[in-house]
Amino acid sequence: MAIEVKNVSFFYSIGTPFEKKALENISFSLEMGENMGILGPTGSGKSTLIQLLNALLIPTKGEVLIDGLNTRERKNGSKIRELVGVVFQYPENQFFEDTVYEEIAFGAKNLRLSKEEVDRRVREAIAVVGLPEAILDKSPFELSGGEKRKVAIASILVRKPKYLVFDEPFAGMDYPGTEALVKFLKSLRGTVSLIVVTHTLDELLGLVDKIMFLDNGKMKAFGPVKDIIHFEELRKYVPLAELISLLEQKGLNFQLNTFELDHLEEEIVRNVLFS
Amino acid sequence: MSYFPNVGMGTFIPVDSIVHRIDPRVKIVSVLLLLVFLFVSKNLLHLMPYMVFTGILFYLSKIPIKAVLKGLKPILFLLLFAFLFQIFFTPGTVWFKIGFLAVTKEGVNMALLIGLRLVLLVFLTNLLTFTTSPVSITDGMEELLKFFKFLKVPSHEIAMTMSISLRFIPTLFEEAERIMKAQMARGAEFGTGRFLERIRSYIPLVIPLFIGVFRKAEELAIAMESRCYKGGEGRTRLKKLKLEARDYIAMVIVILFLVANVMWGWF
Amino acid sequence: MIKLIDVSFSYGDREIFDGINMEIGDGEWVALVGANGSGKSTLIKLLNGLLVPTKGRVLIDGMDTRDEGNVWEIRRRVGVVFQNPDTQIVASIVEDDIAFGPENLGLAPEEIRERVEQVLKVLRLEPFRSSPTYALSGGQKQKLAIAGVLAMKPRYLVLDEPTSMLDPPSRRDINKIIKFLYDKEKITVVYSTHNPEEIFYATRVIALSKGTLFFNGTPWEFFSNPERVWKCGVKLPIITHLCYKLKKRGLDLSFPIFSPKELAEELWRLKSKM
Repeated sequence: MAIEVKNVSFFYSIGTPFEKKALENISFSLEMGENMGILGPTGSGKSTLIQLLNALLIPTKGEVLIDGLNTRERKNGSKIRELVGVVFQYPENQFFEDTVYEEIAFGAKNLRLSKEEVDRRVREAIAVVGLPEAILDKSPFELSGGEKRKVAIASILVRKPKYLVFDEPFAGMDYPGTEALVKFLKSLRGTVSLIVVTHTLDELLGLVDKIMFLDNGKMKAFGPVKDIIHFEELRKYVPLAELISLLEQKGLNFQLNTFELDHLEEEIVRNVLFS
Repeated sequence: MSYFPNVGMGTFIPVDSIVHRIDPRVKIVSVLLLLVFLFVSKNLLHLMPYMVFTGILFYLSKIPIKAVLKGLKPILFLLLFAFLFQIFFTPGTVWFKIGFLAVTKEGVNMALLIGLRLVLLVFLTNLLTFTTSPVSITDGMEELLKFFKFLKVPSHEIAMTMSISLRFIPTLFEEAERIMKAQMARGAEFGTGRFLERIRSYIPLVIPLFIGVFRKAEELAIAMESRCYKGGEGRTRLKKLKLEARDYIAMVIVILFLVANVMWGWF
Repeated sequence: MIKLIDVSFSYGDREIFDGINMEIGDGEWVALVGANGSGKSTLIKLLNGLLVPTKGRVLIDGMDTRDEGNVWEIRRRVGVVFQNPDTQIVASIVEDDIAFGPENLGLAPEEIRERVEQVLKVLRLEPFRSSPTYALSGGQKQKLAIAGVLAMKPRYLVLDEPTSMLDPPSRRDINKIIKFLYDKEKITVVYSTHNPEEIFYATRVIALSKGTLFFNGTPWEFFSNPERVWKCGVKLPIITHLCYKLKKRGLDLSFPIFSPKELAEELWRLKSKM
């Protein structure tokens, strides 16, 4: 069970004077259970890639397979969108129902589940994002910013995706909001595969196992966090990587497989105090 | 940009030509005058000068012929319908019959007249929009509407509303696409099912779009106020429309053409 | 000088501020911080008379924002750039949008042209002068919003989270511009943000919390108390955060530390002592 992207290229407005290359020959795979981050400046092709993963866009060249299902086949569309949930940027801008309950239920109803199953899933989803059931009767429009974001996430979780894609989940959030969201995303690891697209590097590094760096439609690097951190173009934006490389130069020896701050703290304490 | 056509900035085709450089007010007035006279001329023969005149204008405008013909596409159906309707349903001397349908001489004449008028209507309005940027059109409209100030026509407000609408059309299309995709990610399908279902399926698009528009309108109003906007009074313009010799000449040519045409019709 | 005297403000019965006093002098760069909902945006709208206090007075160079006759002069002097790049641009063409403010001021067309040219040059927007505004990137749009405000020759540049919707390169670009305007054009800056890097540009930090002035001091002082920083909705720079965690574990480090190099050296010093 995996996401497989094979030699994918994508062009917008193909065959018109506005033709624009968005992605060029991208290949990677992500096993179920792995979490990955996608980095890259605006216009690097990140949002195109996301839309290719849940069949909102079909590759101009190459194939995208989700658990073996090819996005190119129309009949796979709805199954793929069930497997791959996408939480778009500022997802609260898509609210349209009168109550939080209906807002969350929308995604489940579209799966044509029984009324009881929809109800069960809505209550489960609201619990997972850590909101009280009492909120279900409120209007989604009268919630606070953080609550809105959580409801929007619940409205995707209710579809029980195996792969969960986030496009800039921290956009417009302040520190406590971001921190709470990071904690929540960490709690999801293991139950779903996370794919997180963000500029917020510090948070991302502690969250995922693999990182892809996109630039101008090309995949500049892809690999485990601890390797890619030595990638020149990235390192200048990652103060922690610089710190570690400075300490390693002085002869300290780190056993790092993630960039979570707690883990780093332990490693430094172990190195400085006990070795 | 896959779900919506690129309609953003109207159909303005920015090439450099004498027609492009004419003052928008002159162009708007000329096109209006030509259209009025076109529609009062009752004789097929009298349409010929208009065809020639429009042809010359297009030639001078350097608009590619492909774009000109493409402009007819949206009205092709209407054109065909009007044409056939006139041919078969105008009473008069029967020319020949197709089955039970009688084709009259008057019918053919009417059909050609109406068809040609429609084509010229499209050509002339397109000539205006092809050669004048939306911004210039609104500027021109604002100035022209000032003539109706005595009727209390809010010329500045109308023009400002038009120009802001133009500015936000591309933004709205982008927004619509974004919302559509977000809802599709939640399993929504648009435009499927029977009539009522099909309409209902657009609710998840329309409501967030409207909410977004209102929010944007409010934010924009705040930004405008912050930049000292207080309506048209006391406001000056960076680009003041100024009539030059060529604009007067153009206007005179159009008027002479119309006068000549009218006189030809009388005698 | 901007002066707030005993300012209270409420939307209906929802109280936002209760008796705030502050002064912002010419030549300052003030970072305005506070968690979402702490009233930063409301404060900014009070500064240019979009809102007026329910109690107390807001004075801009001595002019009271409650006095209707002052409103337009105050808005000219206090230029405000908002968060969303998409909803600040009025015109379809770049140079027309820059001209919008001066046009509202009723300046002569030659004067408007001169100001537009000047601003285009200062912000290096000349190649885009005739571009359609909708085709600009978020960062360019925000640059244009700054340009539109500058064309009114304001004394104060007030920015309400201007980079929160931008990616890091555009963010750096915008900050470079503001730094330039502050250094070279001697404009006074009030900048609301959550971003620690942006706070460091400031000469002073003003923090709001629950409708009161919670902190007023230098960026250095501000960051020296992590609990306070978090309470204001601001993230601690990651190295500072790590430093804080290590210090709490009993490592004898100075605080706050911001650069990886400095922390590496302190850690090395500690290790050598072990």
